[in-house]
Amino acid sequence: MKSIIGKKVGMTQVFSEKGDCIPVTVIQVERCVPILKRTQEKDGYEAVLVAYGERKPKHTNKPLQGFYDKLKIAPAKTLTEFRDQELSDDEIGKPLRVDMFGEGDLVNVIGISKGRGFAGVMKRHGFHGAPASRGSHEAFRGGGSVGMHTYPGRVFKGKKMPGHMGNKTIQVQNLKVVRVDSENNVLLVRGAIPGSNGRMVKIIKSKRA
Amino acid sequence: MNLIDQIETGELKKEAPDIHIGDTVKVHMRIVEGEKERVQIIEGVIIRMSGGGARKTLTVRKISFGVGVERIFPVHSPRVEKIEVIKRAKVRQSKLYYLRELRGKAARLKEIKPTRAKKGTKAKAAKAKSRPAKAKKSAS
Repeated sequence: MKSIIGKKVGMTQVFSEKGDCIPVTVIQVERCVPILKRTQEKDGYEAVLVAYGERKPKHTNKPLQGFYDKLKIAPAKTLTEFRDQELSDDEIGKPLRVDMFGEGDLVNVIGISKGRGFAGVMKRHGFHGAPASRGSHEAFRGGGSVGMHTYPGRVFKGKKMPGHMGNKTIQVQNLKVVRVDSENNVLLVRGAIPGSNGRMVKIIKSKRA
Repeated sequence: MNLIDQIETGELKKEAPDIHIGDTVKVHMRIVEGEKERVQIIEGVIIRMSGGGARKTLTVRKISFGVGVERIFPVHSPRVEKIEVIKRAKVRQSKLYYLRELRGKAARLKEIKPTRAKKGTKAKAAKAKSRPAKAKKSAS
């Protein structure tokens, strides 16, 4: 199995052996256990169900508690499935460790980006807005015209307009693993990853690796 | 101690150089040119220090062939072999950007001369002027 869930701790920098300064994101893996296998025969697809983190019993509702009781494990913060993984049956219930990745491996990181709320076109799409002076008035940050006249008589689909920005799933591909600290179960990945600090991210093996 | 601090502590050099703003320093920088490796020495005045812990950097300003040159060094980088203090100066700002507007004699800083401690007053002098006393070693 080459997938794991972790918590984004934050960014810092480390020096390589050569002396280059590398920007890294620190990802900490807490309790992360594969608990169930979805199979082709039973469920129609292959996947591994992974439980991450801890959940207090008072925050666990009864249907969920029943599910955990059936598997005889403690309630988890989240349950996530990873599709098409190679995992033997006796590895179910054993915590996942970061040493599944080696230094220099390429990984993809999937996370939920920071929410920006309802954003205008300058922030959301990088439009330049209108001039601040030389006769400009009222519309300084607007997007200008959205189309033509009687022909085509409509606004084209996919026209970039204001709207909700961020808070959606983003995958960053082919990030290099800079350091693996199996003692603390911590992974250092080169570059930035989506989301705010403290948020959960999925780390999967890159297809290029 | 949080995780990021732990990682940064591991990146620190064992012996942090004793440097201050306004010091004239020689920075020994390891440079790799293809296969060869050599040490380049850059001498100048520290006009800025920024960042903390392993991220600390210093900006060294020198006048090279009549042109002001500034270079930023990460203090804890393995490429910076050694930072030698040549002179200490009395400064009243933490950032000496005003030196950029000054040329020649005007761009001098008032030097703190390393003082020789008198007999019997050694402990007292060292306590009162700990910075110049330390500078004595590297200046000689």
